[in-house]
Amino acid sequence: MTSNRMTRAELIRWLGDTIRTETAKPFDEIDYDLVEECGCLLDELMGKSAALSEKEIAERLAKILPESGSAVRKKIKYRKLWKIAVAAAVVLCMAVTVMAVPTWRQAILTALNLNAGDSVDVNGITYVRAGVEKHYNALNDVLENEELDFLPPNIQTSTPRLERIIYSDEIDIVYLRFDDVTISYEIWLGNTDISPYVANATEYHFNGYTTNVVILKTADICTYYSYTIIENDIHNIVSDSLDTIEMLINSIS
Amino acid sequence: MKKLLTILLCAVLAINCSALSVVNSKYDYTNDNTNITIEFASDSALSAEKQQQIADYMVYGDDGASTYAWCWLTGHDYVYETVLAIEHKVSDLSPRCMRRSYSVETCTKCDHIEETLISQTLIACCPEE
Ligand SMILES: [Zn+2]
Ligand SMILES: [Zn+2]
Repeated sequence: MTSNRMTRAELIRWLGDTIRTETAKPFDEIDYDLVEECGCLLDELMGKSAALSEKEIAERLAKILPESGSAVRKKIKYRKLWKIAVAAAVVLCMAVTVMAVPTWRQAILTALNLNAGDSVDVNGITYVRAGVEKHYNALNDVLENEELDFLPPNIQTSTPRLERIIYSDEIDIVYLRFDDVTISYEIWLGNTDISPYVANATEYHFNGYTTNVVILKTADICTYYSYTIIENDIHNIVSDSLDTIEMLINSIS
Repeated sequence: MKKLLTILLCAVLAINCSALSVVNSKYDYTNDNTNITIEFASDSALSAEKQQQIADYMVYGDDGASTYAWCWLTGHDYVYETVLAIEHKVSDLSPRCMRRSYSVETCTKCDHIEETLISQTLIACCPEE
């Protein structure tokens, strides 16, 4: 729990993961003591006594974990963590009382939402393909290792921060997800037919590219739908702010 | 976004909507003023039954029934796919149709479905009138 220490949110997730892995085994192979120990710690982390000190957490964790902390970190990165935690919590509550399940699920969801910002490695990017998540330190690592070929935005400011890259190979679209979820960013790979998008669009020139912008008004909100050919792809950026679109395209290099 | 679809289509449901056609992996939901297509990839690993279940879920929302069954004890067996929901003719001028992309998580052992909106945009689909 020193240099490699997990954040509270990560710990919650890891505990959930452990419970789930353990309970997925055949019944006679399940280590019920481990499940219970993880469950109890999860209980305390989630519950009213959430103010466990780091020392207390470390002690509890040491009981569960024979291995070193680094192994733990490695393990937790690749999981759909919070969902597993919820599933695990349900399992956990089965052992306690069936009636408590909905409350518990809600409590855990709430806690995880509250802690959503804690657990993310500030420079990290999660890459998702067919439901499998991988964690990378930098955007370039994703592009190199996953053999993705497109020109990405390289935002130098802290916001919006690129958090996830989702590649849907069935439809050849790369989705970029930012911490600002009002921004929608799709890259239509191998598609340069922009003609259906220019008829009612306003043309802008950002960073040497031609961006066609369509405005859709709903209630009081104007949303900007932009279509830009960049190399062999169409970058489709949607935002309530044209400045954001300009900034993203300006960062492409 | 699911809420939006749900609100939109509560009315549709009440006015007696039916799943009109199933062509390949597209599922159309239509009434007088709303038309939504749920589209799966052509190489989707999901069975037709599962696709129908997901499409219904995405259009009508959660019916409240949930049979987690033994998954409570043994863990879900998750499958993930990108599913597209196209709401037609939201704009009078081209591009007219709103496409929302969802990452949908389903379990092969039970009827668990969870969708996460990953993006939305206007696409060229229906022509101007
Ligand atoms: Zn299941
Ligand atoms: Zn359409």
